Amino acid sequence: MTTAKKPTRAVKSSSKKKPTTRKKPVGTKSTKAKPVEKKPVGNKRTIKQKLWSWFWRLSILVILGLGVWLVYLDAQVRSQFDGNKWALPAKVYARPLSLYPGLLLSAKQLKAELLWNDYKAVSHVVSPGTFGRDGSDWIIYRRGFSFADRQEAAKKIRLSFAGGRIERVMVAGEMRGLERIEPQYIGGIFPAHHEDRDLIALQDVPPALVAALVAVEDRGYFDHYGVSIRGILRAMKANIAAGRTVQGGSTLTQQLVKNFFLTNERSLRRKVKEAFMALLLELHYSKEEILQAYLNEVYLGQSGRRSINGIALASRFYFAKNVQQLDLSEMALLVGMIKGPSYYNPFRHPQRARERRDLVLGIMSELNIISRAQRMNAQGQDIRVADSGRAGQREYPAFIQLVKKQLQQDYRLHDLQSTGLRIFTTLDPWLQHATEKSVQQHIATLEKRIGFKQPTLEAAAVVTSVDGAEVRAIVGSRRVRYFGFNRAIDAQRSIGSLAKPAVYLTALASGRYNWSSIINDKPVSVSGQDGSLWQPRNYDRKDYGPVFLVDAMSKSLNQSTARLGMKVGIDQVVNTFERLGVDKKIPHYPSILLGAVSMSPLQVTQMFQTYASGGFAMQPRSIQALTTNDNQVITSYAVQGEQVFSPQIIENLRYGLQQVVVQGTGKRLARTFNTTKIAGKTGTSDEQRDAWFAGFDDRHLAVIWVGRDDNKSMPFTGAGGALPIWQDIFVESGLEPLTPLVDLDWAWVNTQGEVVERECGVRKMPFMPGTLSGRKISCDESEMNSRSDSRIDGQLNNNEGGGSWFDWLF
Amino acid sequence: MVRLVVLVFVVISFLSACSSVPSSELNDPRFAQSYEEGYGGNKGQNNQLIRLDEGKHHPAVQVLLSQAEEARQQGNSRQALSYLDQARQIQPRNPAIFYRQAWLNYQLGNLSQAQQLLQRAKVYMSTDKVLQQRVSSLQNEIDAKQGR
Repeated sequence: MTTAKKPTRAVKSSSKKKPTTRKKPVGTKSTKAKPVEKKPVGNKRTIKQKLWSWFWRLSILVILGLGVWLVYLDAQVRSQFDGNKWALPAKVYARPLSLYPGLLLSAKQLKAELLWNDYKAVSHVVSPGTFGRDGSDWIIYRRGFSFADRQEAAKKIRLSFAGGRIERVMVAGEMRGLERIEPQYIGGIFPAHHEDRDLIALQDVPPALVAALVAVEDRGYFDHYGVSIRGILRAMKANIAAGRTVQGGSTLTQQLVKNFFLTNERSLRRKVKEAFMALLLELHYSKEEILQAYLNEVYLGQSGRRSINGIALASRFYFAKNVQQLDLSEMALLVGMIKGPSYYNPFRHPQRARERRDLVLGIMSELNIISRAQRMNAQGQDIRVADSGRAGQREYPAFIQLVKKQLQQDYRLHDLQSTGLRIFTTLDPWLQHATEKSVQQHIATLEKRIGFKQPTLEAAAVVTSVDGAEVRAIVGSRRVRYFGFNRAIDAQRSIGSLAKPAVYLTALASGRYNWSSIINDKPVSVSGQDGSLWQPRNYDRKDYGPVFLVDAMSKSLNQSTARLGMKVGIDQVVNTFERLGVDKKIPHYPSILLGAVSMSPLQVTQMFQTYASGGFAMQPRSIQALTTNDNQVITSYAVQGEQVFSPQIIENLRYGLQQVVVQGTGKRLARTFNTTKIAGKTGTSDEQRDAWFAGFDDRHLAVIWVGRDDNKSMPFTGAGGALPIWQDIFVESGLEPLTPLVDLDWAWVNTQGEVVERECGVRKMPFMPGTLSGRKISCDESEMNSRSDSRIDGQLNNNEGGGSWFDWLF
Repeated sequence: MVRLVVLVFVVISFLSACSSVPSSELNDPRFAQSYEEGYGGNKGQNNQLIRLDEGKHHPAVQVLLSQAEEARQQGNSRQALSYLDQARQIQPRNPAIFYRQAWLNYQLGNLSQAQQLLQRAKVYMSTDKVLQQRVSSLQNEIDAKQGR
């Protein structure tokens, strides 16, 4: 420190002397010249020294800064490149198609499901992912697949059919009890950038594809350290010669760095960063690791909101094949598309794609990767791509939204979007397609009939299994591929007469009523607490007088239903709604009896599920199992639901719901299916703003809604608007007539609803088991009662407990 | 000629009887009945299930019950429940499957779920006496655990 200060002091003192020396006489110059002359020399050295000093300081600072930056970049490179490189979206699968003896399975469905799953029909079935016929037998070469429960190898399955059902399932000449076709991919739960990819190891990529990639994108790949000066110079030369950018000088490593770590920003800063990161990447990782990452990272196109990344997914997306199954022409096309996936998109620009493919094949031939004959053969092939909108690659928005919603009750969205979970669901692709087709066709037909020029009507549908409430199909809009407002889940619409079964169920469960009870269908007037009057009328404005309870429901009569509801009590009806599993607050107003309550189609499904399942309240369920990317089961779901009504009461109610089809608003179903063993209910809200139909057979429950988003009225009811959609779904998927849950007691009744002998009975009606004893009257007594007409509405009077405030009004 | 016809008839009958596919399998498998049988012929154990794959079932259900039992023995109860639910989807009203689901849930201490499933077994109960005994016995055990 002391030595460093000395010259400073000297400089300071000498400079202070400067004015003094200038004032000295000239004669003194020689004597004083020495120090004076020395001063400038000394100053020059000092400045040089200062400059050097600053230069070195700056250099050290720059080197230190660069070092710190490199350490930072290095940390960034290693932290992002080690372990999980990508945010892997959850992949969602439909239910697997189970094959077992006795299964009712049409050839049409089997073929469709195989094709949707990217199976190819061939004459000789020799490789996984193909199927064919051998006489009346079907032979399916099932691919290897990690199901939710176990990994299964590829196998050839032979199916024999008899009477529309599978007779035998054979594998390698042995009978099997159960085999499965791997489930169809139906969508993903993507991060914000919507990148999708299937990861693949380098050893699983055909060598010819890797060779083509290196030949086209970076010939010196195995010789450089991440950056290729030769490549940059070559690109510069080519670009200068062309007067525009025709060639890039980036190596594969740089391209990977740009796509993986950086943005598409075109700046020198980004370019420098890219070069350093490429060097660091090559320092830490082998050429093979980098190449594998490149093959998984590379962007190769867009499918709606979904970004197609990586060779494996692109291979499946464009050609419906595994990478290993690609032929030379397809490999060359994929490699060629890297330069511009949109520009060389084979769906939209087949000619450009072909030219590019041929160029790649030319390079491959030139570098002896392939022979001349192979090149000529491949170049002679047309561009053959699979339909990008096919079932196996399209998404099912309404169902995915439901899955996401149900999963978010237990899992964080971030985990769903990034950890590569595999979600096995309950979706039945066959039913889903039938539902979508039916919705779209009927909405178009209705609009044409009404004369709407613009798309005006909307629709939603939910289909579940009756016993387990598994959601088999869901449509949230007429635009079935639209990821927007999901009316099946989120629309709250007035349910109209779909509320009526709850009123009748309350009456039947009270033990005071049965289907033969008589109720008076005459005008009703109820005053509300605010002084307003509620005066519901029948749809056709007619009064039907005394009617059987079952007729009031099957014909959807408003007056008699309102009357019955007031008799049994609004509180009791609200309680029934709650027991049925309706997860929303129902107001205690008289108008709820006729459906002045809003629900989503999914909520209606939950309510009807209890009728369909025999009295078990169940939440519709869309998820079967959840596994990690490496196939560890995280959760599996099973049937759940509490019994809220006895099967006897529900069977009794189901008789009434079947009468809707026998003689009521759903009569056309009996004609179409040639059976009356179908239960259902139409619903139409006030001013025909909503048209509903909810119905079930022995396997499936379907709820259909048709309406307008602007909530305006429509010129049709539930029977005209929604029921035909239900009908077509079941025509396509097959209808299984209802089987009784339990045996009810049956008896003949007279016009007053009294149990009578066969001879004087007018209708046979069901009764709760064990309730008929001692009720039967003779035909003479029946005749007498008929004359006095004492029983009309009498049963109601007999049962009045004075509990309902409605009773005081009449 | 008559002898020939009779012979052909006998041969066809014999062959059809030997067929490994029972004719009932060609009917709707949803309604194919299961039959409980005491494991290893031990009649003393009739009111208790020992293995999930006991008894006679539809071939597809039998496969899944065996897989469920295998998973259970490996200590993977979640997987076992998943196989049982797959079996239930094939035969959604088979009381023997509901009983097994209830039984396994009971073993795992999920009493409320066991009770719900046992209730379903009762709703769809068959005429199989062994199953009836088992359901009743499990109900007693659940009641005892729940202090009823």
